[in-house]
Amino acid sequence: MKTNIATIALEAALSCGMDGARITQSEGLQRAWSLLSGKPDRLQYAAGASLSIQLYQDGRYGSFSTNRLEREDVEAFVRRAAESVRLLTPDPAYKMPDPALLYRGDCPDLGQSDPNFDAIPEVAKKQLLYTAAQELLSRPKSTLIASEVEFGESQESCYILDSCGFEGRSAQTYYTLSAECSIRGKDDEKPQGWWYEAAQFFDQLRPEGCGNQAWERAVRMLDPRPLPGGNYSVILENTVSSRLLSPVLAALSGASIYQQNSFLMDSLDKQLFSQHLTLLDEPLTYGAMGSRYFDSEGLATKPRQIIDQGVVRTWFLNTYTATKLGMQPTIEGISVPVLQPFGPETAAEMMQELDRGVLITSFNGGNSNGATGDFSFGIEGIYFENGQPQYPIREMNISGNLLSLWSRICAVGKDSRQAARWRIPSLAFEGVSLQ
Amino acid sequence: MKENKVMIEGASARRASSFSLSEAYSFFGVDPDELKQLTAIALEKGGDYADFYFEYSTSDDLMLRDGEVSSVGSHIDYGVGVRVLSGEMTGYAYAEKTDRESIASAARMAASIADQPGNHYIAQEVVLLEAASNRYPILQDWEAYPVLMQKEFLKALDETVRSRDERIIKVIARLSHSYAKIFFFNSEGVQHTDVRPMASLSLSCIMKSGTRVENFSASRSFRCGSEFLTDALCLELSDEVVRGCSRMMEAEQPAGGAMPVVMGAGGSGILLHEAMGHAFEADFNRKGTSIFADKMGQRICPSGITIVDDGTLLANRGSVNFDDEGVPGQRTVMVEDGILTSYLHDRISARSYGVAPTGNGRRESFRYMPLPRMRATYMESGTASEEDLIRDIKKGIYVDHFSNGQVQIGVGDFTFYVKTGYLIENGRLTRPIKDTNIIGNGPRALADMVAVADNLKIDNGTWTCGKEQYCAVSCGMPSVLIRQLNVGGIS
Repeated sequence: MKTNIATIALEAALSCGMDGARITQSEGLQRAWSLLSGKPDRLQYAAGASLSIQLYQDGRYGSFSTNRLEREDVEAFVRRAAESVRLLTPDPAYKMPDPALLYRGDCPDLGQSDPNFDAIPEVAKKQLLYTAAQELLSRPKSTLIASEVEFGESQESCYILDSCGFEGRSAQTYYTLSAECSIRGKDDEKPQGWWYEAAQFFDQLRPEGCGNQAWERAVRMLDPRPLPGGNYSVILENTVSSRLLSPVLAALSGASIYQQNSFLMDSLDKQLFSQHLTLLDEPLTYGAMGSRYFDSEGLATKPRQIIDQGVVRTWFLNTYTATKLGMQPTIEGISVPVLQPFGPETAAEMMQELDRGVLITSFNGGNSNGATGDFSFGIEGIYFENGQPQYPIREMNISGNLLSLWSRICAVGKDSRQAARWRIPSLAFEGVSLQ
Repeated sequence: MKENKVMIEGASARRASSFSLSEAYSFFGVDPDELKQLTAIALEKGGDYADFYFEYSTSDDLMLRDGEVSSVGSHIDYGVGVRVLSGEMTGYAYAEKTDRESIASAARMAASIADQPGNHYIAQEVVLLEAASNRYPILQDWEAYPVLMQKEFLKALDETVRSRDERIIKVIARLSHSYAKIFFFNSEGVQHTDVRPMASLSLSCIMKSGTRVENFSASRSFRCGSEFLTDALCLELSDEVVRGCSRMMEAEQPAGGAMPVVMGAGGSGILLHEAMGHAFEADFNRKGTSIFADKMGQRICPSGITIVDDGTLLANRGSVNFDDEGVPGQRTVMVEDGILTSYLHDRISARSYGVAPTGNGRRESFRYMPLPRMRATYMESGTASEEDLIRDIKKGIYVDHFSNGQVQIGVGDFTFYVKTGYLIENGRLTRPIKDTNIIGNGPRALADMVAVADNLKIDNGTWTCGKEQYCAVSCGMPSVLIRQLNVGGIS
């Protein structure tokens, strides 16, 4: 990455009278190939570069971006940006981060970028695509309506330079292989199944089984039956379990807390969750998706306890929100969430343990109220009894309150998917309202 | 062709509401002869259609928090997307510079979707498409409403909200306006320009009483200039968030289960968007994966119901003079008197079905290929009154504020999240409810629409559809009674 344009932007900002500035230069390349029912369908290629510019002047703040990266364009853009910042009303919480909290290091390899990205032959990538497609095309034509498979790859790099002397670089590569199929169901219904694999290194991407998994996930949704509403034990499959964790993390963000728009207000050092629940952030884990040395402000990451045996230990605070709350900044958000396992280790073992309930395999819409923790999500899944799958269910909602839900967690598995952005394993809860 | 030099525009720069062809050539640094040469490159591998979508967009925003406007943003995006079709296959690439070599490089990438090299392109006579009418004229430029005045507007909004209820502890407002210059050229010789403005205002408040805290948000968005900011808008939006939040403070999650649901006029159009609109998008039907794939010409809901997807409403967020593949914006009747009459087509699906495209080929920006997308989706008014719909319900719910929705296209299950509504008990609206997800099945819900009121209302909130890429849309509906939907809630 040629980084002199970031320097030009920083110098332009300071020469315009800004007392602080941060320049983030990003470059990215994405390619994707897809097949529809075994035949080429789409080819996509994208390459781009942009500058993101944060300007500070005496409590005034602006955030700007442009992909016009010629020197004269950037300088003119920064001049106009600075003019608009000067028109604002000061808010002392807008300020550059404490230099003592910024990452100072040379970014040793965190296993985020495949050095062979440019050397992998196209034929090898297409081989993965056709392997996944063939698994679906070998299925009975009387049942299979359509199949779609896609291989995608991306390479992204980022360079941050600020007026405090912080300078940081990061780079990631990412490969995905996804498969989806539609099959004939009852009447006009066409249940769909999907699966994906993902990896940061090409040689870690496993194509075998991707199409088969998509097929099996469609077939297992055939002939759904109604399930009476009531309180059930539920298991969140490892493909979807992060869905109910993400609103908890959002409630721990400084932006929610300082606006008093969080159901985890006043939560620090309080036992609000089950004593079995321990959530860590492990941002320096080699090869884990999301590992990083610094956040977007340059604040250094480190391993942290977020929730320790049910006690909240960390709020996610950047410089702005920490100042608003009169606290020290921590980090803007979680990097690599790790839930400590307890109880049965897989969804299948959880079914045995719980005897009767619903394995949730997919969410369909829904949302949660950040201020109260009330939630309601559409679900699909498998009803199980005597520890065995019985029949698929759908057109149901899971509802309740997130604090109440997480206090009733009864298992955290050890079966997180390596392909997931957040490696959250299967989770089990007792006494959950399904309607 | 030389590298063009675009003068960067910001919030204070002049923004014309027209963009002539000669201005477009000059602005993007291209001319018809060079575009024909680039088209030949795009089709050199045997593609049978190519188009070029040039776009320059700016967006500016101001944020009010804690009673002050203390942050600002401004963003520029510039580039050209090149699409090549070979039958129903698509090759797509984009360039962030519009010099000849950058465009040619993108064209070669997109061209490789085809595999029959040779010179297949015969340059067509260039035809300029003119819009039938400008659906989004800018009546007042943002230059006439500079940042300092925008700040004052937001401050007045904040004061208005806070003056309505002493329980309000936080107000957050965000004003944004964007502007895009578009130039389109394709291998059929069709070219056009467009200027697309958008102005949006989002307002949230947080209320606290004792230990209870609730939030509520509302928004307005139109394709227009700074005439958007009026005293009436300030009062209307303030009133909506304060009333909505007050209702939330009294509301509880309902007891769930299957029950009759009255969809209030306006934002209930999310039901049409999720339960029907996506299923009518022709890419899903072309692939045979939509539950409505074999229903063309058949009755899918009771007579008297007409559902439209409309790109022609004046200043509407979903309106288009042209879609993003050079097809004039238009009004498409999807369901007429209960009969499925049209899917929503882009060029690919229209070619597959042997029909004319319906102007639904839309995209987030030059970075994305166009797909069949909705515009403003609504149901025509019926003849009942809203009171008629509620009167005979012993136990059900009335819903009128929503946040998001989703659909499973193959089986037709759709959901939408209800921020607030009311219980219906013995024919009357009684206690407020909140935070419940409603789930139903599209074909069954259509068949179960037992009454339609005479009060069609278009909801002008910041609706954004997320099918593969983001796209501004809107929706509307008269009040409608649906015999039964599944309401999420506590057991």
